[in-house]
This record gives sequence, structure tokens and C-alpha cells, in this order.
Amino acid sequence: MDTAVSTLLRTGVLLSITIVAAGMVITFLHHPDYVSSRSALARLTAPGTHSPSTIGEVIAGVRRGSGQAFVMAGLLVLIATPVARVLISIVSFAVERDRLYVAITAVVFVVLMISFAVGSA
Amino acid sequence: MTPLVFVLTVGAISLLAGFLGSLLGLGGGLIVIPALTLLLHVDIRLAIGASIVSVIATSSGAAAAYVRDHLANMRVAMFLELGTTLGAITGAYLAGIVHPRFLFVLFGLILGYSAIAMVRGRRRSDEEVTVGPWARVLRLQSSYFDPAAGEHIEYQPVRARIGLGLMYIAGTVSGLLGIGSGALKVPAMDLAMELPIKVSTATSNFMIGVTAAASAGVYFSRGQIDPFIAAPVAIGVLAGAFAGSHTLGRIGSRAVRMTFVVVLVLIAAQMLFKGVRG
Repeated sequence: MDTAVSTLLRTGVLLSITIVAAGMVITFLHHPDYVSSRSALARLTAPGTHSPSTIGEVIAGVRRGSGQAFVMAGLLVLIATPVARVLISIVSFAVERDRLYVAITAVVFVVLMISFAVGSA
Repeated sequence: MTPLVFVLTVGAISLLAGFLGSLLGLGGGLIVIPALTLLLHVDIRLAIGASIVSVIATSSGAAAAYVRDHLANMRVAMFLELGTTLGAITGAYLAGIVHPRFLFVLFGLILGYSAIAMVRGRRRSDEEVTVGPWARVLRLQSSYFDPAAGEHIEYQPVRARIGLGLMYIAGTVSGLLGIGSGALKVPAMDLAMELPIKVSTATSNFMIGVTAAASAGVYFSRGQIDPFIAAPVAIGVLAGAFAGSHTLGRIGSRAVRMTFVVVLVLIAAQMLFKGVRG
């Protein structure tokens, strides 16, 4: 049980940090002026800047080789990691034949999915 | 400031936030939000988006070690997540109905009171609390090896139902106010359920990622997660949390408790300030 959860968390974190770091390297390679230009920062962190905000946009950006889209893909892996952790806990408790905790964890997962649905509506 | 300097600065601050957050079971928004808005003049909406990323990174970066070392109690976490996730939905539902200013003042006071109660500590010698049917059926008892104390520590959580109720409130409040999830969870586990302080912070750390992931989806679809700001936050926090998770076992329980209390007082003051100023 502990090993499965621990391994999942470690894998999710390593995968995400690798993609995010690669995305930052690509960003700086595409825009060498980011190392020296002072005006670029204001553009990058302005509230109106359009960040990819759907999974479709992120995938399209990754296909174009956009560094920012790679970063976003890595962040989505990071966000998905705790959710996957709940899912794998259900399986682990089931393997241990711990019915009470299979039920508890399954309810947590359903509530989590409802909050995703409520949030994005 | 050039974008490169910005990224390095945010990364360094996030390293500290991840380290402290993983030790204390908090998300790190306390450090990340003021640093981004006051120091680096980032828009508050993007700072909040970055801080939700910081909560998930703190949780996931430290949890692997906490689960392996049995510092995080997975049964306690799963049981209490029933309360926090249901509370988060309630909070989202109540947003716009309840006045946040009133809540900021109320919870500032509650956190201040918790800080005092945590300093006084529990009077464990007075009377032995009997283990109720819930804690027994849920098999919440566990043990961990404490390298700082050099001994194996066994513990039996009590008042499981009260703990669950408090988690529901904690989930509702963090859903409404966007802050304070760990700050409410740790005192609830420490004062009501009588978990050892390191187990409380490690278990809180384990739990906060799930609640934050639920709201991260919303921030993502609203475009509040700016990759250029969130990337150094994620990398810095993950590295800091990894370091923190390998430190918690080795520092004394009293030091963890006192550091937590100091940070709790700061959060309480911040909440009261927000409530009074509006």
C-alpha cells in the first residue's frame, strides 16, 4: 500500500519537474532576449497575457514546440498527481481486502470529481 | 529586472516556501503570495494561481518520504479527506452568500486561540481519553520511528468524529477564503485527535494536495496559471519540500510545534487584518 502510493507520488513529481524544466529551457532558447531584456518581463507577467487554459490549447502548443505549453503540460501532470494518488489508494485498499477504506476512498474520489465538475461549470 | 533574474528570484523564494510548508503541513501561500505581489509586483490573480501550484507541489514533493517513513498516517488522511472534500464543495456553493470579511475575522480569532492552546499543550496526564468506537473501527492507530527522539513512537488517535467535523469546516473555509487549509487542519489533528505533532503536520501535508488539485482545475480554466510564474514556483517548491521531508524526522517535536505556532500567529494576524481592512 505505502509503496504503491509512494512510488506514484515520486513518479508524478519527477515527470512533472522534468517537463516543466525542459519547457523553461526551451522558452529561454527561443527567446534569448529574456536573459537581458528588462521590458520583456512586464509583457510576460502582465495579467492580460493569454496563458493556455484548455487541454486542447496545451497539446496544440506542445506540437508547435512552445516552451510555455511544455511548462503547462508539466504543471497539469503535477495537478493530476494527487488525484491519481486517491485512485491508486482505492486499488491498494482493495488488494488488502480492506472494504471500509475502499468505500471511504471511493467516496472521496467521487466527491473530488463532483468538485471538478462544479468548478468548471 | 530581466525575465532570467525574475525566474531565479521566484525559484529561490519558492525553495524556502516549500521547505517550511512541508515541515509544518502548510501550503506555502503565506510566503509565495506576498513575495510575488509585494516584492515582484505580480498581479494578485496570477499570484493566487501560482500559490495553488505551490500547495500541490509542497504536498506531492514531501508526501513520498512521509508515507515511506510512516509520518503521514494514510488512514487518518483518507478518513479526514471525506470532510475536506465535502467542505470544499460547500465552500464553493456558499461563496457569494456568506460575507468573507466576517469569516476572516472569525477564523483569525479561531486560529489565534488555536495557537495559544497549542503552546499550552495537552494535559495528557490528567485523564486518559477513552478510545471511541469510531477510532477503533477505523483502525487509526499507528506508529513511527522518530530519529530525533531515537525511539519508536506508538499513538492512538481519539475523537475521530470531532476531527471529521473540524475537517469539514476547514474544507469549507478554505473553499470560501482560498487560504488556511493547513493552518486549520494541523490544530484540529493536534488538539482534538491528539496525534503527535510531526504526524499532524506530515498528514496535513499529505492531504492539502488533494483539496488544492480540485480547485486548481478552476484556476487553470480561468487562465490564472501563468506558466512563466508558476514554473519557477513549482521547481523551487518541489526541491524545498523534498529537503523538508528529509528533515522533519530529525528535528525535535518541540521545535516543530513552536515554529508552527509562530507561523499560525502570523496567519491569524493576516486574516484579522484582511477582515478588518476589507
